[in-house]
Amino acid sequence: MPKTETYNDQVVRLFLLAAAVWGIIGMSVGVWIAAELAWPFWNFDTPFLTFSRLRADHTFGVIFAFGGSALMGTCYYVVQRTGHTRLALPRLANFTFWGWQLICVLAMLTMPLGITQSKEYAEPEWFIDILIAVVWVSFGTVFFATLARRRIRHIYVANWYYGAFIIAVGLLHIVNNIALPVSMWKSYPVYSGVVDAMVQWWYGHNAVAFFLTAGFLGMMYYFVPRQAQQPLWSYRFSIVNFWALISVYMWAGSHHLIYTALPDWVQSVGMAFSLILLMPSWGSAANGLLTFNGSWHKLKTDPAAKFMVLSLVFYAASTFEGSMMAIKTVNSLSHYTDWTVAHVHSGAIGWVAMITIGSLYAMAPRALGRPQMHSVPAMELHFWLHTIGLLLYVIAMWAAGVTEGLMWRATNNDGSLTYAFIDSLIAIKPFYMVRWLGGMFVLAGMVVMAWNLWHTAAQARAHLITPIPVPIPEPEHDQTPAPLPAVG
Amino acid sequence: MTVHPMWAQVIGAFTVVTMLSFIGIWVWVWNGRHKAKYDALARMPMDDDVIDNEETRA
Repeated sequence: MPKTETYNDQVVRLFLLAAAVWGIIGMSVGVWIAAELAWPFWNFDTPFLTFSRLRADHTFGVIFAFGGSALMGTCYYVVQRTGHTRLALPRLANFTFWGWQLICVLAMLTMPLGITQSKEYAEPEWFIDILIAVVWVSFGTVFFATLARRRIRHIYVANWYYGAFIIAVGLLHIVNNIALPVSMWKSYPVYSGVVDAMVQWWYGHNAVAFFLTAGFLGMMYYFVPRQAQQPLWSYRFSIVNFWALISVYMWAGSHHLIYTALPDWVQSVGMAFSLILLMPSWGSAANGLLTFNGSWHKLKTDPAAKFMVLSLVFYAASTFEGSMMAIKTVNSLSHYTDWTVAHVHSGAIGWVAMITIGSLYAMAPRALGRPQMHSVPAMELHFWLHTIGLLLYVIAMWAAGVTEGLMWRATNNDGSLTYAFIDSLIAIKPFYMVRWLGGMFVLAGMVVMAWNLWHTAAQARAHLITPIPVPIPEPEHDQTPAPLPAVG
Repeated sequence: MTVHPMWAQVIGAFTVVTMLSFIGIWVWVWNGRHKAKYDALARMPMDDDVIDNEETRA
């Protein structure tokens, strides 16, 4: 072949680095605020160090900075491999990297100063929101332009999930953040009252659906078959699950507002759709797990495969839990307690972080031009640190949540409350300490991963990487337009 | 708040349409003519792995 087209892994490597760095920053803030809840003196009576200010830095840091960088990096990697084509619009792709990092830095700096919209998971003020919209549309442009020049006629299912993630998150972000700025640092949303609440949780729940689920399922559908070295268990089933998931998730957001001023029938709609949602969720989890059939022995030797399998187990567990918590009678016990915190972290540390870490360990050696990660024992250590931390965290918060729920609803014979609020706080204090310890384990694992990635990237840092050539497939007999010729 | 009775008809129609679409997707994907294509797609992430390994060994 006279001319060789190569994959653009440059921008993938940048996002890989960013994910490792933001993971440590976001989780460090999480550990800090967990310590504040157990030992309040850790806020040093300083406004920008209080839990209320730093909590948004933790959630933004882990979801959008760590998760977002990992999603964009793997998305650029997967869309090239599954289309047998080089990334389109390389300069715009680099812009999405630097733009996203700028957004993360601006958000993480302004929120502790109290510059916030006070919308959960959408805290950054209007000028950052505009920047997010611009970068997001650019990200979508690069992704769909790359799909448009693919050489494989059919679009692999991972790209469907990435595509849904890009389109839906853009839609949700723009609609939820329509606001009137009154100064550089302050804006007011155009919605008010219960409509504001419903728009916020339509956004909030679909951030879970399309950012934390569809995006990471894109990762799962590519990296699980690759790491298992088995074909996807059922390609057909993945298509059914795709359409079921994206059409059902949109309607489930009102389960965040059960027993509020929201009309009761809207709450019931949210509950019903949340229960239906269990099926496509378990469908994808089963498809991923069954893909390991024939390769279960890999779990003995391959820590990346271990991360993936446990992530799928926690995906199934936390989606089951979520459906149950959307039932009104269960919600009456769980709402406003640490059970919600346990649920979200079983999804975040269990499903999202573990599929990300597994995928990064699978992708990093290829993107960094190495046969495997620098240290497999370090991956093994990371797996156990992460798993122990996860279990400590979620078990402590489950116990705390049920304790709170039961104490808050306990009444005496005359109808008065059995416990004051402070009684429940005292009862759960030991669990808050265990939660902090769990977080420390997870954070320690992330530091081990960063060390491992740094050494795996030795050749990349010395600019000694040979780009990987794109395999140019033979055109199918009826393929229109014909596959693009190779470009250097 | 009362809901206009017309909405009951809309909801009923919507339920039927979505249910038929759902069944339609099952029928469509299990259509035998897609089998070879889907089998090839299911193997795609593995094929990529082989190519990359050859590269990294070189």
